[in-house]
Amino acid sequence: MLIDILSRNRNVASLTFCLSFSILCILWQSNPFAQGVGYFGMLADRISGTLSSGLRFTGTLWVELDQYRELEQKYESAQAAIEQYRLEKDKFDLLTAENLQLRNALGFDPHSEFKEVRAEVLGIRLNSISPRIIIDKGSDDGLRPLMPVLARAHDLENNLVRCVVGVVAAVDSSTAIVQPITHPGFRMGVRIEETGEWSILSGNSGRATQVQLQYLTANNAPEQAVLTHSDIKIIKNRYVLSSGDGGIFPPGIPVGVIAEEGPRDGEFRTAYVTPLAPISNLDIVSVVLKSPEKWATGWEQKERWEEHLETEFGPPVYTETTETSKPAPQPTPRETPSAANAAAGDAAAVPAEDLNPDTGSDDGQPPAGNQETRRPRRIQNLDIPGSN
Amino acid sequence: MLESGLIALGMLISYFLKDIQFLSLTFEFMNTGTIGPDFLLIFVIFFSLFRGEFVGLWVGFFAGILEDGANWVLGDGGMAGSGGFVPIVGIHALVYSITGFALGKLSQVFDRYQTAPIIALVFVSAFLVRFFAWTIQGIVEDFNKNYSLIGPAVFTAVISPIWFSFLGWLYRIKAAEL
Repeated sequence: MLIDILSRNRNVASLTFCLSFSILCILWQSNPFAQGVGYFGMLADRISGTLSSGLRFTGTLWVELDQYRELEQKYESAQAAIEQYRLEKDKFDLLTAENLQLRNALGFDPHSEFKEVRAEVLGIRLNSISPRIIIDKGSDDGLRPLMPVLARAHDLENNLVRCVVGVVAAVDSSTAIVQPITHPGFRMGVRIEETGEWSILSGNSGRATQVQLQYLTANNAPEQAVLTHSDIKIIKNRYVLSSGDGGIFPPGIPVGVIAEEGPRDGEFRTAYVTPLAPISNLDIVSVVLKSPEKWATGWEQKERWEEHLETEFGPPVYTETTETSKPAPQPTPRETPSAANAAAGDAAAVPAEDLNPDTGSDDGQPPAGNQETRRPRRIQNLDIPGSN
Repeated sequence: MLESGLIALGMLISYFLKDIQFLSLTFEFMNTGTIGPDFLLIFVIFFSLFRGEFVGLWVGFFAGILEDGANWVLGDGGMAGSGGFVPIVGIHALVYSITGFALGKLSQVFDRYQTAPIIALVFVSAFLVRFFAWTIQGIVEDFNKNYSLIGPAVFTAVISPIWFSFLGWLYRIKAAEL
């Protein structure tokens, strides 16, 4: 019966199914079908990456052969340079040790060194609503989502430098998809070299080959950087470096150079940046085996408003007071020394029941026999005018 | 059944041709970037025009699902702690389905064997498909300011007569058949 109706109205039924299914998938993004399609998408990218890699090799075979002799000469000169650098290794070690001593003296954390994995680029898909790069290393090589991806490129002075390409978006066992910095959803914290201005770099620049600096400020201190000042100079060819404050990229890695000033965004100024990495023409990239900082991944779950009330006297201590006058509690034998120390600051009036988890006062449940006379909790170690 | 399998195979080949950016060009001037023809859309339009709205709808739907598989975005609010990237499925499936169905309806009144009308139709279709996919993606996530609408539509339209001839030869579709 139902099949008859559907077959008679197959066009309408099919249209209804396709539209409702598509809309449902758009609204419910984490549905199991989407995950399946995502896996297929990765598989398809892997196949097409292999295809395009093979096609590129055959297409450039004669050019590669022609360049072979030139590369041979470059290799010999590079070997000589390596020998020279080896002789200077002791200088480098000395400077590294000195730097570590100075950082220790200043109380700075030591520099973190992260391992890197070199990966071949299988395919570059920039002509898509979701631009991406496919590489030939995956989870078997230690890659995880949100790891930084870098490449070697020449800077303006023709020096070979490491520069930012993007972040790992998805991985399977032997391939990974990289979200390039020109992806519209890409954001990272950056600083401008020399001036030290802080900014957000966005891939959604409106230009296919450039990215945009947003929220440009004049102040160097991040806590003061709110509005722009009229004296900011957006100087062409100034380098933009990763700030390291997003929790994903290590600090100080070049991203690009300022090309020109962009349109104003309210109170802020913007600028266009040309990436140093040749995004549309990459062969080899390096993936830094660095997972996002813990605060960058868990801050939403861990953030509690009480954290902002912490003072130099320690975390806030809550007490229970009753409407009936109650004599100040005497220290009891059950009170531990650490609890007594905690109460010794400005929270000397904390009753023993607050320090004893058995009374249930810390979980919001009043102790037995005291339910009608309870007042709301009061913060003891904050001097809030009118709070009493 | 055999025809369905051949259509599926052709769809996959078209997808891979698009995915490897076959015949794509990169322009440095005006920050144009890379543009290339949308072989998958040409495939959908071809079957909509020559097989009607029912086939056009389903070919469009599955072609859109294929296209959506690679549409990765950072999940739930775009924060690094949101659990990584997820594919947004449904955007291209919705737009391609409607395109396939609408062009299938139009096939009764459209001259499928003249080059100029095909170029015009493919250009308008490619532009509208890209525009609506961009709009829905913008509503769901962020509006992609880098997304080129006209360049790839022109490229797709220019190459479409050649690709129509090739697909017609491959699937043995001739004027006498209809």
